[in-house]
Amino acid sequence: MKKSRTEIFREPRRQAKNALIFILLKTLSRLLSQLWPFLLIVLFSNPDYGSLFYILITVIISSVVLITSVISYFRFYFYIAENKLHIEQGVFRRSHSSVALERIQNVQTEDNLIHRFFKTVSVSVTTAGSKDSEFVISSMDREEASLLREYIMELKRSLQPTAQQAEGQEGEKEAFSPLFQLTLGQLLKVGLSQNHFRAIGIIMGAAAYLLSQAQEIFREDIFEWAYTLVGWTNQADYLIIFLLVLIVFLIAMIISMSSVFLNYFQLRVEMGFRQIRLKQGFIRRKEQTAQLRKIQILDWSTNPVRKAMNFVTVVLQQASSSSEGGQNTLYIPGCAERYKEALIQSVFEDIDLQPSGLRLHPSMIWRYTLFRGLIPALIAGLASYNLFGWYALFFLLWVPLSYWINWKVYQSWSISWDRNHIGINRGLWTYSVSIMPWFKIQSIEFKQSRFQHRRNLGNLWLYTAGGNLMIPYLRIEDAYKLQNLILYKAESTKKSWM
Amino acid sequence: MDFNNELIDWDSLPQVQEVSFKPLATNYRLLSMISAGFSSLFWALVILLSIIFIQLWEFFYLLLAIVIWVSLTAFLLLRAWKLYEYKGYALREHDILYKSGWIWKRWVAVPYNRIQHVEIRRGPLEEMLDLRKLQIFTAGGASSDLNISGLAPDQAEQLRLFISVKTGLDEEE
Repeated sequence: MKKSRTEIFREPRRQAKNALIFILLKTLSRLLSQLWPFLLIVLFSNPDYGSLFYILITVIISSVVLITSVISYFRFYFYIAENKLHIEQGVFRRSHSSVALERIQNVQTEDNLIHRFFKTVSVSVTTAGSKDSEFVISSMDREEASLLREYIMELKRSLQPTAQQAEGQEGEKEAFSPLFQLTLGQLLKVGLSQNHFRAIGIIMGAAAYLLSQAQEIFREDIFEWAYTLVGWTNQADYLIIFLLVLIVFLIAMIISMSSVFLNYFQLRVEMGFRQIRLKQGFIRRKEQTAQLRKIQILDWSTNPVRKAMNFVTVVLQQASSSSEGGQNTLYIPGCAERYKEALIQSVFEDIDLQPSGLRLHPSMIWRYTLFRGLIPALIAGLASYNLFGWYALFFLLWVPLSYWINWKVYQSWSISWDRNHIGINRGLWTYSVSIMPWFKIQSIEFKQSRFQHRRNLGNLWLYTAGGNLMIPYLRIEDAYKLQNLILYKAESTKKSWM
Repeated sequence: MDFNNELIDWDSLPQVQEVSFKPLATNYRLLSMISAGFSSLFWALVILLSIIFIQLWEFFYLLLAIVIWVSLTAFLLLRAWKLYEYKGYALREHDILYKSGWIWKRWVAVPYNRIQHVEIRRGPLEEMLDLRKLQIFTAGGASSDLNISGLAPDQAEQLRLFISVKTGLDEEE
């Protein structure tokens, strides 16, 4: 590497000029998210102040945004000194943060439309196993960014003991070969198979929040107004209710499908010898790279819709810093069966999972029915007795249904293993399998409730640096066996867990 | 690489169930009783405030509140007293084991080669009773970290030293 070109990073540097746009947008959105109820009041409750008032408000807000953004742009510096990456920033309170280069896990770049227009990228620096938040440089010249990345990785390599060097470093160039790419049709299928109920939940939550906020502002009974609007109070028109449900479901579908479209557009999975790389996104094209040896848990999950369309969702959980930003989790939706197998084979070498014969204790069924069936049903029934009268007894119908569900869930659990891995399979509607190498655990915990203690049962928790796994209602002798084995595997191996 | 998939001989593995645990410092019982006292005061405040806010100034409700508070306090104190018997730690050659819990039992094993660092902490109460708290951090996040409170100062220091030597050794191998 040419020394002269990297020398620039030793001096405090500002971000690229167009970073100002991002800072502006960020400040604006932060301000709006704080002030929007106030703005609503202004917009709706004082029509007689005339346009001058609005102009004034707009001018004040935008000048505040502009000034603080410009100042924060000029007060942001980053540089490398004493083998540390430093960032200085802040308008009113200056902050100076630094991270040792050898602690840096990865330097990731990302670009959106604005970035691409200016030929810049945003750079984020992730660290492992620390409480530091990650460093973000919102805009930087594209070539400079790759230079910075190389420079950091090179310095980092020179700082690390030679033993690890042989293993290969993330900075090294690696040859990637494509595994598969999602076509538009596959993307559509992935969107269809999403859990639309989650989107319904989001819609309901957002609607309830907006209504309650609006209620405070307008001080009128918005709910009553909404009821009269749909003619609810007068005639319970089942057709309207049906249509409403249909509309909500359609909106939910559109929301979840468009979020899939935005996030996973042209998802491309590439495998290297030691790394895996994902490229995806519509407006923001994102690139994620993961070291295969840092992957702690591989999950794959399917549901009847996905099963019918013959694909699964694979999730790779990397060793992550404590900020659970999801940055270290790789989602691969729409992964066909054979690619899933290929992924599993390349993440975990010589994997050959066989049924373990371990069974959970069936008392799990009625305990779950008690806590998820009977008790909620009783509470719901008692709480709604005033509303429904004796019809509230219908809530008890939930109990046998819940028993049936829990019985099915119990049956779906199975544990498989081989010499180096454990696989945990479970789920009724969403069937998921989690695979992890024994030696990647950080610690093991065995928990027992009073009831479980009497029956010599308990839940076994396996903690890794990238998520946890739990096996419920395990017989104590099986739990001991597993613990002995896992501890032996973790303690006898020379392999690094990351 | 030659691959052989021999049957695991479960009984030849080191057995965690045969470990005998060392108890915490006897002062720990006092510590947990005092903190149970504090949480009982907290609940008294909660109950009092809810009576004031819901305006339940009737004899029946006041009696009910007192009964609830007394039984809660009794439970908390009993639990604090009992906890001491159920807590303990054990050091093995390659891992540290810790058990706790009277009603909800739990026990944890952390291999030395997974420990990131060890810290000794003390709060004001612990300062008063001359106790220390050992915090063991792993890369698995808060849920997999191990905290052992109620250790005597020299006990804690001994543990910290032992663990740091062990983690250092494991790294050098």
